[in-house]
Amino acid sequence: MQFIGQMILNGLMTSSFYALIAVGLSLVFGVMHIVNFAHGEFYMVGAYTVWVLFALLDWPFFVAVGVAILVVGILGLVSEKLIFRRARGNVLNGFIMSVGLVFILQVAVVEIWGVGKMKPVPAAYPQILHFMGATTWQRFILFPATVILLGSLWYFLGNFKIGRALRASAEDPEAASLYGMSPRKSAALAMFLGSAMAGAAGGLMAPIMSVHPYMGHAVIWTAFVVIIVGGAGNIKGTLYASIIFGFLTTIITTFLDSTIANLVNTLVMLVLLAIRPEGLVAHAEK
Amino acid sequence: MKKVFLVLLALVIVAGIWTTSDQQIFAAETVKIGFNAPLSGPSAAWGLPGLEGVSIWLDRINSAGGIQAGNKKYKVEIVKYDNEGVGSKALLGARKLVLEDKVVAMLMLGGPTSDVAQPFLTKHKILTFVLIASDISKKRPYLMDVTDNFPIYHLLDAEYIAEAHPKAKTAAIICQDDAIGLAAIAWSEAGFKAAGIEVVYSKPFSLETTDFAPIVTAALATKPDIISTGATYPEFQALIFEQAHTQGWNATTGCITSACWDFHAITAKVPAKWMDGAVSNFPDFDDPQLSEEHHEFWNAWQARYPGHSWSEIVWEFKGGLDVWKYGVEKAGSVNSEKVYKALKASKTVPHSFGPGVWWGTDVFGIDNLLVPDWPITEVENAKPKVVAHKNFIHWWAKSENRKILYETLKKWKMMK
Repeated sequence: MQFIGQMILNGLMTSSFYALIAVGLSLVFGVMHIVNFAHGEFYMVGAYTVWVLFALLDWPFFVAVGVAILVVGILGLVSEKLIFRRARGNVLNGFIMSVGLVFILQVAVVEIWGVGKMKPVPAAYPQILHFMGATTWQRFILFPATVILLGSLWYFLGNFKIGRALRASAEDPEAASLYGMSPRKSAALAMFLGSAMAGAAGGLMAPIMSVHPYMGHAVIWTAFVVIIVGGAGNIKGTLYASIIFGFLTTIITTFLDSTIANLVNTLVMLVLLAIRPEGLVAHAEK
Repeated sequence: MKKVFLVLLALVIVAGIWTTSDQQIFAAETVKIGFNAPLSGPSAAWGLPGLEGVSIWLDRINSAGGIQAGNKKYKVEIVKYDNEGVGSKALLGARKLVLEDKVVAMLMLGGPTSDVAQPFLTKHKILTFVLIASDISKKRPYLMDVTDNFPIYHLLDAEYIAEAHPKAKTAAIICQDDAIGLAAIAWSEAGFKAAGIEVVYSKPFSLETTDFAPIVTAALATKPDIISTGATYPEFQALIFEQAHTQGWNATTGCITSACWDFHAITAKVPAKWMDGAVSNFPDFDDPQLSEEHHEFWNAWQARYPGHSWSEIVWEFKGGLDVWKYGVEKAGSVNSEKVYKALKASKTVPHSFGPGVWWGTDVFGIDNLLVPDWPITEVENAKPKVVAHKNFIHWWAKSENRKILYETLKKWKMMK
């Protein structure tokens, strides 16, 4: 029973992480139609921000995470202005530019802090929580933090004029102008919010994961699998897909192994892509 | 008589001038060694620290006038190439270092980079020192492992654990799914079996793994007394131990064991006390059980690189250079083939941990592994302390051990 409880707890944590990293990517794709491969590097910059502020400079953990959200959000904004704006309407150009940005950010981090061993980020809340199984509070806070962040995003998109304009942009850029928002502004806002979510994921995960310049690689594929299955640009679908893949990965890894889990995830994505290319949740249901 | 004396005196003077000028000419000569290792990218931790030890070695040798090869003296120069741990880049590096820089020997990490670069290096008969014994093959006669006895020391760890923790009867091995990880799993499994310890978990995990909670949950469900992380990379190791600690595993009858530790990373995740008694193979070089020479190297390294993390990589490439120097002096030449033959002709060769003997034909097809008495360490307050020395040749002498090793390597498809 304890084993099952632990597995459910593990699945919950994995799903929270997938949701946090994938929702931002989905938002950017939905509004800008850009396959942003640098989203993993934005996540990495968030983790490095927390490493510097929390682990090295002893700032309070949540203040460090807040700064990480802001820093990566601004990084996204600058990227949109300097790079992605030039690729609007051309998915291939956007993709190539984002790959270039991957290398730029990796090299920048390597130049500033070097490579070598991972940057150790201690847990701010190392106490162990016994709930279904055992986890640290540090790990557990990922769940409420994800609920709060995604809930806030959802509320913003549904209840603010500017948020509704952003949602409309995902459907039809011209429709957004009915809300008085130019496609350029929509793109900038989507990039800020999407990147900020990656910053939040990196910041919250820094004490739980290995912080190194290449940590973005490990998450970007999973994030793409999740948004493809959820329906690219579809926030609700992305959430459902995060839960499905979080638990699927956990269960297969526990009973078989993590290599098979990766294989099955990709297979599920391919099958769904073949039979339901619009994703789990159709756009009309968003 | 006076004439003869004068002629002899003249000859002595001429010879003296000749010899002096000869030495001056040769003292100016430089011999180059290639350092073809990951200096950036995810594997940089397995290459970069090696340059620190190598630079200390170079200064010591060159400030003493260089290396003596017969009647010639050479300054030594290291030419580095960052292969990023990628096979194709390691081959590019090998070609550049051999064809353009004219290096006479090569230092490499090994593993996947060896597989790609070795055919070229073998063709050019370049003596190559790697840190992974399982790279040794009779198809690669010039590839040697003269420092790191990976994965052989896993056998010795298991033997030690069986003696020091006799109540430990089950082991879980958690290691990544690549050439290095699989070798660690196979050899650890053989070691535990030979020591009478049942291996209850040995599934390799994907290199893409970011969350170790489900892996550790599965491993702990098998109720292991021992957790071995084999040759798991440092970035994974700390996360595995964090999960083991969080999910309540405590070494009541056994211990944790691994090829090496990154204490800085691990103690950021688990209490230092939790690591006490952990078994491994690499002491810090200030260990009282080690020699004055080790301590001098430690002091020189600390003075030059204050605040840097110590790892076995710091001394292992430098250890390769020590063996190469020994071979050059024996051969009286820096020629790669002659050095190789001189090394192989020596019954014992000085290894960093004492006299080593050549071994390997029975498993790798060629005796290119230098095996010394290997130290076993236990952790105390986040510092490894030498608690025993184990000899692999003694382990190998037992026919039952050999049988188990062969069977296990065949099971993991590492032997036909």
